[in-house]
Amino acid sequence: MKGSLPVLGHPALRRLARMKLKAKVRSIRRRLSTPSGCLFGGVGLLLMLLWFGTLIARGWVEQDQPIRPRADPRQLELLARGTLAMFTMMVVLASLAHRGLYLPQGEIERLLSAPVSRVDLVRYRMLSNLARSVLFGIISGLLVAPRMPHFVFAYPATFLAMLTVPVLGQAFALVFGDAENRLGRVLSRVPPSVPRIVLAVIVWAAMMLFLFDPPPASGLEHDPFEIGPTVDVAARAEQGWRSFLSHPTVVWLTLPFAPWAKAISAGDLGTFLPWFGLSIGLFLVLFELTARIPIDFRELSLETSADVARRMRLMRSGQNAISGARVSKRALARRVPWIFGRTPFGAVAWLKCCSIFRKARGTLLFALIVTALATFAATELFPDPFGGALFIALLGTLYLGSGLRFDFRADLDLMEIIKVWPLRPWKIFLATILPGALLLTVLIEVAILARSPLLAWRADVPFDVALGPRVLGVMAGVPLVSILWVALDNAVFLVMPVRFVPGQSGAMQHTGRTMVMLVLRLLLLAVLAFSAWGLAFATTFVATEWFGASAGIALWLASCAAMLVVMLGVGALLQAGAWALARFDVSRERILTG
Amino acid sequence: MPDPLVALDPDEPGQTPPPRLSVRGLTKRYGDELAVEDLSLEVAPGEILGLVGPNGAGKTTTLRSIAGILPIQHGQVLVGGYDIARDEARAKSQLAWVPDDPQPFDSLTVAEHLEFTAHLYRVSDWRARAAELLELFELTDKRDALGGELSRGMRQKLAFCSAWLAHPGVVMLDEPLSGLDPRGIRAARQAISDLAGSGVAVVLSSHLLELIEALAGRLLIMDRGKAVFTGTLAEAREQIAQGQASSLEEIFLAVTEGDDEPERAAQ
Repeated sequence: MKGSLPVLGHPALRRLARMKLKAKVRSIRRRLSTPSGCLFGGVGLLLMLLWFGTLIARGWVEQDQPIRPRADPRQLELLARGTLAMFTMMVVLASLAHRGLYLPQGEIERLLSAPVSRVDLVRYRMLSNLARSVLFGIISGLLVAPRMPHFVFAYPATFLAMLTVPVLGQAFALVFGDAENRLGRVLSRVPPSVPRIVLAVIVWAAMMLFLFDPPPASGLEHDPFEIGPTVDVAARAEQGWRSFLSHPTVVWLTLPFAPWAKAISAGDLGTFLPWFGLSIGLFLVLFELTARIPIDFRELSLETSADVARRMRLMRSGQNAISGARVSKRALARRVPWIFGRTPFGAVAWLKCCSIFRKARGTLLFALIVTALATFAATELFPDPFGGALFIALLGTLYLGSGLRFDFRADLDLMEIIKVWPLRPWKIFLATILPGALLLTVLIEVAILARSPLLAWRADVPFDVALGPRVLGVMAGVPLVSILWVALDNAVFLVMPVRFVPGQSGAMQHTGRTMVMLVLRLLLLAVLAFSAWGLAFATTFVATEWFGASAGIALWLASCAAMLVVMLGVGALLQAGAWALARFDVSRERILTG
Repeated sequence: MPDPLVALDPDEPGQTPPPRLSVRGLTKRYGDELAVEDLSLEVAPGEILGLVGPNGAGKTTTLRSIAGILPIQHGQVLVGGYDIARDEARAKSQLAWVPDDPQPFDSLTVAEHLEFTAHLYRVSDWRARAAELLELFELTDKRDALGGELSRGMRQKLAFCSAWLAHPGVVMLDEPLSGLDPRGIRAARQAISDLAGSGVAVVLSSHLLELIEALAGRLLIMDRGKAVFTGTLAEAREQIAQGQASSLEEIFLAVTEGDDEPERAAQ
């Protein structure tokens, strides 16, 4: 390794990193070489630019006040320390789920058997992580710097802090992961789901804190949390957060983050330079110390790598972490009923039912909580029984429909088997989506039904009004709308079966594609809704004006006409799904994901 | 159309049974790349056709096209007399496909896989047969294990059980011995042989030339998407090795090496 800095790692590993970077660029170029890749990439880029543009413009506007004497520097420093401590805690908790040194499964055996030292492997991994953290650092800088006294000081300091914290995370992953380490042994007994849940709660709390904008606090004219609408609850939470950060114990605990926090909140060059210099020095020392931690991480790394690969595989197959969970023995002991009969059609539907009943208990619980919340929200926001029922039906279909994926979206790895089944494609399509659509329908119907007594209790609406004819009409339409939406989702998916796993290349295209597809689906639904409304209107007009029918009969006829249009839409979508399934090319799917 | 299983009875005296699988002029392209070109083959009841060829020759694409996994771009595939493009469900009901790396359903147990298969293919009185197959492929102890918990070899055995259970007229096997232990290999070889003995047409694709030599009655050697030889091993020795007692490996290498080799087909 003559002629190169040891801190940069083994030359072969540096070459590998360079080659991977080149491959990334090549992959981006290849994705942009097709018309669809170009279009979706363009839309994704536009969305990202809009987001970045807003952040940068905001930074510029607030830069008009380079130094903010009104802001309390001590409060800002404590805020920066607290935020850094929280972020570090999140990274450390995440590292508990990835103990040792994570190396991708495609690399790990080759790298562990290669003639390079383990210190170099840690350096290589940390440098790769740093490269990944650059974008995060840029975004964090844009978010934080405008809210600090001086943008030019706060930005590089925030950027540096965001690069330092992952190094800390790696150090913790190695130390905690060490089997010989007593703490590691204790932590290894903690189920991996525990840190994930804690992490999710912290992320949620952090998001809530940043999303809501409290009123100006007394005695403090500048408000560093100045984002979004005013909400009293958030104001109280923010006051509580400030008191918490000012507590002597917390001040003492967040002391290690003081150099970065002081650089971020510096109001003049004299304060900024020494703290920023110290932060850089600490970063380098921390980096090298982490690389030299005398721990044999190989077995842990193999375990972590296999675990991550399993999760990625689940995600690639379309299953999320919850529905991809292992089946418990208790769930296995229950016999899943053949709801749709013991025919080939029923067998395919039964397969899906097994998935729902055995593997998706977590997802179902989550769906139930969301449904309960939506029911309560609909009761509070819409005292009108019809409006609330419509709100539940539409929100439930759109939101739950995208979350409850018990159809082709979870079956991509099995398409080779599915295509051999001796059934007509439309039957396979219908049998596959039916259990999921039925579940969606049941959840929504239960929510609408449960809202009636709630309305009677909270808004004094009589029960027969809360569950009146118009609400019953909505309930009658729910099964059709559910299957319509699920069929549409699946038909679109089969036409464009692209799987995206966070962390893989093509994020821009994925963002653009998701947006374009959502707009197209909503457009299609709008056309169908407009057609249904048009036919219902025409039917009402003809019934009342030409045949002198009563309002009740006209309404009934209009509902039938609208229902007919929706049924025709469902039929057309089933045909489209069958066509998409028949033309589904397993080799094409490979190309799209490759 | 008459019941093909009756029409194709191999034991009917004084009549050559019509092929149970017939492929004519099959062509498949991936973009500009020609994966399979104008391929024709026939497999009679009880016959094992050995499909061999170097990597990328188009074997798996051929099998997937025949199984209806890939859409047929050009050509015709008849399974038990039914056109897979026009009468897909009936054609598929007579066909079993065992891919090179079978993926079971994560949420079903081994026994439930067989229950599912039985109902999918409308197999009546399947329980006894399922138990026999589990015994044959040494999966009885694993009948309550989930698909996701099975090793590579066990997944292969489960795929055999599912294929055998459906009483197919045609079975297509892509690298069927991958991941099996020596005992499993012996059982699988015997089972394939017995399957053909019961009148099922078998297409066996493998790089294990010794397996093909031992089981296959006829050979189809593919190279770069084309059939470069079709016939029996004896015919191959006659035409390619000039009657010398060459092994299949020598024949395979002779047929597939070099770009300028003329195409050969014994018809």
